[in-house]
Amino acid sequence: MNHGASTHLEVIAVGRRFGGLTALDGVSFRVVRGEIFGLIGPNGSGKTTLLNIVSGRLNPSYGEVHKDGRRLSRRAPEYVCRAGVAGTFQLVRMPDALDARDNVAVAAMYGRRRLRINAARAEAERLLERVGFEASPAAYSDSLTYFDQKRVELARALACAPDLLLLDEWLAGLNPSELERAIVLVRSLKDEGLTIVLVEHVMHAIRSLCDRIVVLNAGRVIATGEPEQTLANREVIRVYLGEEA
Amino acid sequence: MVLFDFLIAGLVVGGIYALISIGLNLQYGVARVLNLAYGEFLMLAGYAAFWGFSLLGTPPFVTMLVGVPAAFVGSWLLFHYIFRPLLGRTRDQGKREVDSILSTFGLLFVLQGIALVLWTGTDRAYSFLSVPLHLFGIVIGANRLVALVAALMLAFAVYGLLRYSRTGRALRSIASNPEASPLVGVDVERYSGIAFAAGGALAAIAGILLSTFIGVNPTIGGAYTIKALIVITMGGIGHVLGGLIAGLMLGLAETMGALLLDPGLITVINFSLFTLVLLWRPQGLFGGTSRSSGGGIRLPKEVIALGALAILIVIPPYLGPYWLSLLLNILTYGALATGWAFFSGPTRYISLAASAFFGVGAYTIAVAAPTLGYPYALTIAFGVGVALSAVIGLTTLRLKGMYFVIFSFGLAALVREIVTWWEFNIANKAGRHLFLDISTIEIYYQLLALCVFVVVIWLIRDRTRMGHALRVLGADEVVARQVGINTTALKIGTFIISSVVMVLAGAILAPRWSYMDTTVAFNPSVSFLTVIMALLGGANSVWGPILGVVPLVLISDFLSVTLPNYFSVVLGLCFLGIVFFIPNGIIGLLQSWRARLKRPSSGDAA
Amino acid sequence: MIEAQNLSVSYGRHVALSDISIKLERGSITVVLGANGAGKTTLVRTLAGLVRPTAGRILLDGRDITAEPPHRRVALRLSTVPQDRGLFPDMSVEDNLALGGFVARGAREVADRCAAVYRLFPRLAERRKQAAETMSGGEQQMLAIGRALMAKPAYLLLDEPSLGLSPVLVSELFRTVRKIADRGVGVLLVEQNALQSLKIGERAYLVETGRIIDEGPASGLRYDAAVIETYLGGRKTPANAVPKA
Repeated sequence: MNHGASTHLEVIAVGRRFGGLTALDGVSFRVVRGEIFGLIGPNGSGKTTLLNIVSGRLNPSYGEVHKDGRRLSRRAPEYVCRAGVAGTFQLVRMPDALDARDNVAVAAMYGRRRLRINAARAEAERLLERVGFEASPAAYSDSLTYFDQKRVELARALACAPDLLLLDEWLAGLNPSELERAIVLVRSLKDEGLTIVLVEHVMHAIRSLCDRIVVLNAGRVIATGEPEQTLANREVIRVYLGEEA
Repeated sequence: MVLFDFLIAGLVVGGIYALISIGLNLQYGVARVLNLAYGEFLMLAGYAAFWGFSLLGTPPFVTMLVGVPAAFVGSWLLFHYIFRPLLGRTRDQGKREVDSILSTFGLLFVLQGIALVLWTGTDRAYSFLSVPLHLFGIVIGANRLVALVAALMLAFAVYGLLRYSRTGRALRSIASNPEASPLVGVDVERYSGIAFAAGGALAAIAGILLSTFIGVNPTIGGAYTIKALIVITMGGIGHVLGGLIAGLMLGLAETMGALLLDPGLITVINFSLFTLVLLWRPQGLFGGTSRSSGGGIRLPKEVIALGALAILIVIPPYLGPYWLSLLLNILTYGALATGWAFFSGPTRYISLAASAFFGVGAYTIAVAAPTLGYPYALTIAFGVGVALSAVIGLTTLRLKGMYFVIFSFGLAALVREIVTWWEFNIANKAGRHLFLDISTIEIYYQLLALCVFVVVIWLIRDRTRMGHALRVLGADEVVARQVGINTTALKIGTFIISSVVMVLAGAILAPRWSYMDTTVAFNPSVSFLTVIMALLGGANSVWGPILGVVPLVLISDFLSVTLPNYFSVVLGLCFLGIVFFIPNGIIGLLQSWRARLKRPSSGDAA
Repeated sequence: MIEAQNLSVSYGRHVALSDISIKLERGSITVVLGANGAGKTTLVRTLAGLVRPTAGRILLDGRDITAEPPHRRVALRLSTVPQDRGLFPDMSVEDNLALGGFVARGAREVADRCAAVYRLFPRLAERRKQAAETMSGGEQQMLAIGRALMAKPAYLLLDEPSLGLSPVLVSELFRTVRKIADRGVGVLLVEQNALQSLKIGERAYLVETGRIIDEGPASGLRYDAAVIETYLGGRKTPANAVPKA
């Protein structure tokens, strides 16, 4: 582990309540620049809430999120995008008003680079190819498979030119061969220098991809560290399986 | 003591507002239909009471025994045959809301038109229980007191039913979480129908009670709808007691405002209160969870029309006055409809305020041109348009589409009231005479230029990033923000451009009138015609509105000559037909035919 | 018995369920396990009537209910607790329960059933006037189940009831579910919490990307390698296991 590595993202004692429900209860962790960081935990542990706070869609009830030392929480989503953070949604959102290419191109026009239409469209086609998109760039969402829609979402996130990528269960719902290809793709994104925060359930992906992980349960951090040893932690096993096997 | 009088008077007025709004609360909060024709139900019930009393001598309470069940059944049929199929057409929450707004807007004109045909525009009043009573040191008519008492009783009765009865609980569940209601065995469609019908019945009660001390004519509906909309929004949609309190507050504010400011500024006071609540707590004083908005749209289509433009440039000297006037009409609405669709098409924020902007343009010329000359006046009109739309945009466009619609719906009345008040109190004029040395042909070319301008900027926008950004915004605002689009700025900017075009249309046309007052300038049918034309052609394509303008101008011209009394009714029915059968307009139809020809096997939609 | 025969469900081009056949018997707990995105929730929603299958049918005590709308299924004694619990947030505990008894005949019957629910969940009785959205996750789950019981169901579908609950509450929850089944209700328990659910269940199905890949008595599945791997080890396709970077 590189001790001189810089902190890219810092979550500082973040809490979030919805009425009487405490979704997050003082979560803190650090993401190092250039690593793949996993955020795991059983359903309802607060992972997606945390991701929504980082991406600006939700405000924390207390605590802060910093990126490169500057406050990121409680900012409009547009600001967060320009600050270099982009991601995918837990449930794919691909507006049906634009075809695949334009869905991605819009992000290139308005993300961090502000390209012109033609340049943005060219970039969009390049990114679609990069993520392994297999249908026609002129296709609309209603004629695309689920995996292809996910690819469009990923390409769109990349088109914002982020340096921090948030993937919310991007690998869910894939069959084994699709999963392997997706894992290779995510690793290649890290190789290009992106910092990636991964919320996942697919343990195989977590083990293969993550440099470090943090485990949440009922809104709290219960373990953190490298995947192999963290997943062997008794507490983690208990929380996931309910009891020891 | 004088203050106390006004307090009581305010509560009386407020109680009536609360009474009016209960029904709409049920119709929108439970049945999810934003019924812009609500006031028309009130109006029809008022007529029923009037005719019952005048022709048959039946007191209003007896009329209620017949009228209220009739209203219940009629509303239920309306819901079952019109709104349910319309709402069931799409699962997209935003689209459903838009559809219900548009269809009730059309219904408004149909009902108003029918009333106009049957009973003319004369104010109808009758005297019932107008005995003055002395209470707490003030004098109040017995009929008003009855209305107030009835309002309170009804509010509590409805509240009690909603809280404690099985049906009431079912209705509340639908207002609270309609997706979960079927899970406890509630048939959402059936109960929504009951809610809508109950809303209609309550409107009938309110209308009959009101007719005992307020005269009825076909145009009173709009003002009541606006008040009811304001009250239910302030009180929180679906919260009956919230509506009661909000109604009382509104009545008090209005009465106090009339006392402190001017009775001619009632709508201003209403809207000021409304705006304050919106800025502070959009979900209403008692409201809770919010609803989502969104929509899906098609791409614009390119049709080469330079040939048509060339003809339009060359032809005027060869036309007789009738044809020139017709073309002028087409160009006016061409500018209005295209300007309207420039914003409302892609964003799906339906503006019902075209007549407000048009009127502002026309009236500014009437005021400023005689003294400052036409060019300066035009510049001022431009400035006023920008200022007005900027203020409205900043207030309402940060919120969901529904608030914008409600605001725009009342805007024409609001602006007209302000201008009338100003003219009367400050300028000391009843109307303005306008004698500008501008020929019809000059106006023609100016309008043509305006049309070309708006078409050109639309075409440019389609080719720039803004066009894409707007399309994403209209389809999924969350995604738009996530990729870095400042959606608020985009909405406001587009809205300003759209509004200024409509202002200029009014300003350019103004010299055609030698006399203008607020009724002439702020004619509500302008809003209606603008929207129907844009929708007929297709509001998402640059050429759509123009495609809708031409046939409708011809039809309305024909109607105004042959069947002038049926103008509203026929056009209202056309409007409903468009919303039902060709929601994407002619352009949308053409596009889907083209798509079907290209793709032999269609994909299935979710 | 409830029987799903060859159910298939698609959202547009995305195939969520493919040829699913399961059985649910009264007085027993049938467990459905699977990772996120596997199609478990789609299965529950289809059985509840919220989603229409593109193929296959559903039989309840021999009667074909595939075309029945969801509110009718409640009257046929099939109740559902969805993943988001489906409560009426601004309404009180009392009102939520009263609505649960919507299909009951007469206020007396509703009151009796309500009393029975309060006996099962004393904590709800303490909070009967409280608004549902202000309650904690565990209490909301109790309320959701209590409300479903108000309809006196013969069959109960639970979609991830352990969501967001602490381990202690989860144990309590499963004890309650067992009690419910012992009273004669057929419970379909859709879960991620494998071991605890398998402990209380009679039968189990394992779902992955819309298909059933394993089924059998719950006790047998507990020691099944497939189950354990899916939840902790992740599946490694023998031919191309991806090495960690």
